[in-house]
Amino acid sequence: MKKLSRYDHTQPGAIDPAQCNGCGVCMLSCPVWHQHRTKALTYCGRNRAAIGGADEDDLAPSAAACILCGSCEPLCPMGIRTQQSTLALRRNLARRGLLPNPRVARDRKKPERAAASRLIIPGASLRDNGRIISAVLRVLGGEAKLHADDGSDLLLSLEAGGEVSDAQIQEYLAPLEGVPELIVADGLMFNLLYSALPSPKSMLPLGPALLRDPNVRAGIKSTDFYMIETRAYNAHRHAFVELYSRLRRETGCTTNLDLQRVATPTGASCMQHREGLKTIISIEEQVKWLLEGRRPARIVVEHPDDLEAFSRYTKLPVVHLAEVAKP
Amino acid sequence: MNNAGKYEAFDITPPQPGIIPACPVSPDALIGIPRQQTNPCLWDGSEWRAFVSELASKEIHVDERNASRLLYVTDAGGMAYGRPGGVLIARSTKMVAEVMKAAQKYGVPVTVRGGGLTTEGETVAFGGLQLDMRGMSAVLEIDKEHLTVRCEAGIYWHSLAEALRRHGLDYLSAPLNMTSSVGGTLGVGGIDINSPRLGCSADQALAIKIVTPTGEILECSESENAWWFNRVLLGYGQFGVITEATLRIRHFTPLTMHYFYYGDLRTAMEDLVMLCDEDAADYAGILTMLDRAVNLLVAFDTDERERAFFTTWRKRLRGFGELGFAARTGLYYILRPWKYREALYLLERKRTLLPELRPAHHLSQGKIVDRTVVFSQAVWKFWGGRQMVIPDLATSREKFFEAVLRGNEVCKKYFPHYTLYCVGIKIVGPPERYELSCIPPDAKGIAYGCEFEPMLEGRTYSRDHLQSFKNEIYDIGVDIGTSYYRFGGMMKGYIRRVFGDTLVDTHLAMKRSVDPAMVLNRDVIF
Amino acid sequence: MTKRMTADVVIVGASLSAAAAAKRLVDAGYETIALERFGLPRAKPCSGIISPRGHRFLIENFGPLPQEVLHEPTACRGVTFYFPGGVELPMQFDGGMTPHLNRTYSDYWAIKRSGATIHDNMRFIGATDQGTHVDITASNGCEEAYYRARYVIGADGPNSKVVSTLYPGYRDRITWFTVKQHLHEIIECPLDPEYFHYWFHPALGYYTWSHLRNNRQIVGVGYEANHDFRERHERALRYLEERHGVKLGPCNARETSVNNFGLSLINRYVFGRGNIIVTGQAAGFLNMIAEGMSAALHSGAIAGEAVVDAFRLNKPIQEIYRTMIQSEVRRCSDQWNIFKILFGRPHEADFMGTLAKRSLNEKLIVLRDVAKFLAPWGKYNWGRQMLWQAITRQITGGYNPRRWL
Repeated sequence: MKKLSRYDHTQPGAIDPAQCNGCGVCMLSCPVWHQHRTKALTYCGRNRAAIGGADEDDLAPSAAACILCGSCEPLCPMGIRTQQSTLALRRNLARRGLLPNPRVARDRKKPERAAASRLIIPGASLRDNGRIISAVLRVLGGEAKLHADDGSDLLLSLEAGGEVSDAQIQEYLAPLEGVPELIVADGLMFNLLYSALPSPKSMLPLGPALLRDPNVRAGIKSTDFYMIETRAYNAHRHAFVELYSRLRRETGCTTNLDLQRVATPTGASCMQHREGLKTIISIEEQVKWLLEGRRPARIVVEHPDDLEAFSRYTKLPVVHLAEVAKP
Repeated sequence: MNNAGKYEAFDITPPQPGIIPACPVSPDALIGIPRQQTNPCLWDGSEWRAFVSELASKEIHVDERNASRLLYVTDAGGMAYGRPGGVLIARSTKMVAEVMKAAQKYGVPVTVRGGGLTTEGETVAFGGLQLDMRGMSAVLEIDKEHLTVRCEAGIYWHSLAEALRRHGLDYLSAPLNMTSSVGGTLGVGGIDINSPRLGCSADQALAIKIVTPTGEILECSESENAWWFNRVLLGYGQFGVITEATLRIRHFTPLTMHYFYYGDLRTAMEDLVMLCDEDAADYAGILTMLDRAVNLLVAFDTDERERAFFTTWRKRLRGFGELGFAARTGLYYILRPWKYREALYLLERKRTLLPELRPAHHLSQGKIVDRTVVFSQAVWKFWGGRQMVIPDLATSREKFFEAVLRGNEVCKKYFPHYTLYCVGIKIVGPPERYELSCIPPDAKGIAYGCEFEPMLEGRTYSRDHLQSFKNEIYDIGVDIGTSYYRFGGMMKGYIRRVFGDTLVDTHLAMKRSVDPAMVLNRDVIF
Repeated sequence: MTKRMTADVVIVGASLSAAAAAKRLVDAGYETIALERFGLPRAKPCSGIISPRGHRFLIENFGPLPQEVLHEPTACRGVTFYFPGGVELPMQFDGGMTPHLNRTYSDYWAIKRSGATIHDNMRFIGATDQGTHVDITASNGCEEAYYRARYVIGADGPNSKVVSTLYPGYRDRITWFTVKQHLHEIIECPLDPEYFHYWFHPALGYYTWSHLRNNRQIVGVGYEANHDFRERHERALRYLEERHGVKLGPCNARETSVNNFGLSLINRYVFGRGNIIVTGQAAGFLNMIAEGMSAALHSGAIAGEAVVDAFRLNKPIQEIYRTMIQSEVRRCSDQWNIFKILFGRPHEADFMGTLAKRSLNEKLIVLRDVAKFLAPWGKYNWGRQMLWQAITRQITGGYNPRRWL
């Protein structure tokens, strides 16, 4: 019997991937498509093959190729949650040993109660970067605190298709409930918290949170190339597209938004890259494509991973958004 | 069973492609309908293995995995299903040439596919090899001085636009659908709402590189291999595979768009024809919602053209602005409360569709940036679906009105809601290019096209219902002598009815001479 | 452990509706097995006159018809209706001449061309719907064979074993008709050889027809099951001789079939349950003048499409099939719908147009004779149901799916 793998499309707001029209619009902004032009490796390809009756096993190379940048998500005319659907497929494949190296979240310490009115969840790459952290704290003001448990082990596990129990997630979420303001630096973590927390009072990705500060906005110049963190933006494009349109209008900077207003990634944040796994996405090529035909004087990034990527493959100055603020 | 003897002699193999055998039933059975299998059967694959091994010996590896073949079972039309024996993603012109040579040698059908946006199964492979051209999507050279671009033909128009925009440039004309490929569009024509000024998208090609059905690589233009150039453009993939193209481009400008509303289809059509005749707008087309709500859309690349339009032509248009139309329509329905459903439908359209056509993030100072993105997303959201049912008629100016008005009546019989999309197509190339194409032979200077687009609205219809609808639209074309944007697949039975045997047989003879084994895009029109 | 053959779909039957369904499934890449209880090619009782719409379907899906699938004469030009009052109404088919199929070969040709795997001499015995798949038992007469498929399509004709398996007792609830045709040597036959002849004559029976096949004249009579055929057949022969001067020699071949006539008249179709769907004449599709072939082809194709969509959309097959089949239900039941007959063109020959050209007197005779012809049908209580269905159709635009089984 043929099996279709699917995520839980009975959740509110989720749509059965089988409702896919096959229009292929989701491929247009996909970095895997851009580099390989192989439909089978895209979300569209995986979904079409599954709908046609392919075995899950056949979808493993495609599921492993995805960098979960979320480019496909805002484009689906049917509103399919593509990022979730790919995560669900990875989980199924990992359970059967068909994906390399699925992480399993280890025993976790009981997280402490978070006592702050503005809590920053830094994520793995920000946590280890003292320079940027202090810049971020400088912008966000005295009441902002870093959350000690950023959950990056859970996140890595989820992204790799490893098992994360509901209890573990609930335990992680418990201290965050009731925090008046959450600022989440990692895009995928933002997406997870946004859908999992019962009623987030105020929750923003790091970029939009920093951009609230007029000094930060004033620090962006028309010669800047502004690199939006893709995972949170793409999954919530409707909420943020105006913010960045305004930024572009007001400052004259160029951004990594393409013609469909989808954020193009460098690919540096993906689990494969961070874990040193084989990946078919070349970050160098992504950086080259992002800068093709553009002549910026400086690159401003929202995510530390992108900082590293641009620093490695261009000679241009690269700064974090928190660092551009005019004092 | 004593029937066994007769069975042994009983030939069930299908006739050779292009051949329509004499009908043993009666000469006047199914009057006028050619006895052709339009929903093809799977190719038997007798030489498949030899073909695959020969390619493998040249380091070309056909992908025969089930999961890969499943990606290609149907096209945007969603009516024809078929599976290739194997898939190959084209990576170079040389590779395509090797494929065609081997295909010719072993008689293996090769079905070429770009975006797969055909609606009659033209890009669906019924066995044989599926050649996915999208592996060739590079932009090779942008010439800002002469405003041309050289690109590989598998590229989506959208990806081309993305690359051009980095340099402040844009293509001239492409279908309002982001997932159509350059090669596929040049092969069939390609209609944009600037076609009344610029002609089909195919007419923007200055040169193409092709692989002939026998595997020869040719560079073609009006001055070099002109016969091939004009056969392959609008040639429905019969005479060669386009692997590269040089296209005319322009500087990018956002556009201003205006809508005029009509309570009557014919009046709107007359105004459209007037605008096209007098070159009053850079873009012009009709989109209908109901018989009583017809939208004439005009758009401009420059402020000068827009000003000229408002000083010279606006007053001659009989359409209303949004407010005026809302007032009139409101009054109409207040006086006819039993038509409340229609009124509700219009309100719903206004509420959902109109904002989609001007999303804030695609506007800049009131102008639309990236019209194709805006339209294509709206098209998929409102008209798209698993099945794209868009039969069309392409007519001379004289037959335009009858064709559209008759088609409109047919739509009403089959679907509660539908949209007509009418546009002019200027004829700019040499006549031989348009022979046996979407441009009807009797059109002089300009042709008009109308797409009949039912809103399937998530309903489930049998293919028979949808096909009957399409046939009824196509039959209007046979009846009054028009052409169609789409030719092929399940519609191939129409080509002889429309163009007559003499012309079709001339083209069939040309096809046979360049593709002796009839392997390239078999079953599309022959 | 018994060994089961697995397939995506098992079709019970290998005739036209099965071939159409198989064509759709095989095209989309689904493994399909057709089970046929007889050895193929098999004899099949049928007039063989398919409507132009069915002819077109055959060509478009299976290719041009080979000579072998046709009888002599190869084509039929139209139908002539005879009324006891003396009026004759010959009508040409709208689409031109239509094929006179030799069902033995046409069905075999179609199922072969569909690309399905054919298991002939394999009688369907029963099926168990397991929710995620269906287990099927069949027998070749010596031993049982077992199949497992995601879906089953019952396309096994009027006396469907699939239907009686799904709905035990159903067979006893509907009215059965027997249709027998005898082939006679011709001594003299003035009936137009290009036409199918049909008598609206209450004294002759429910269904009386005649046409030429392979130099012999068919005289067929349809009547309620268990009636005496010999007597009715002789009555028809006498009537043909007295009234039309038809002189026929002895009968030298006979064909019999049992029909579930009436289901399409009153919108009582049978479409199956769970993962088993029913199509073709098994589902009740029968056009006017008992032409079942074109409806079988189209409904079979819809069954195939529905299964393809059920696979692809991962939705319940019944829901999809019952939605899609509405177009064919409308087309078929419209043929019996009085409003459609009076004000539309539901048939592929123009009855109302032909009648309109006749004198008022002739029109009245036809009306009177039709009324007389219909009188004996009264006992089935179809009239009121047909009228009600016709009214519903006018109001809602379709036929009520809740009447389907």
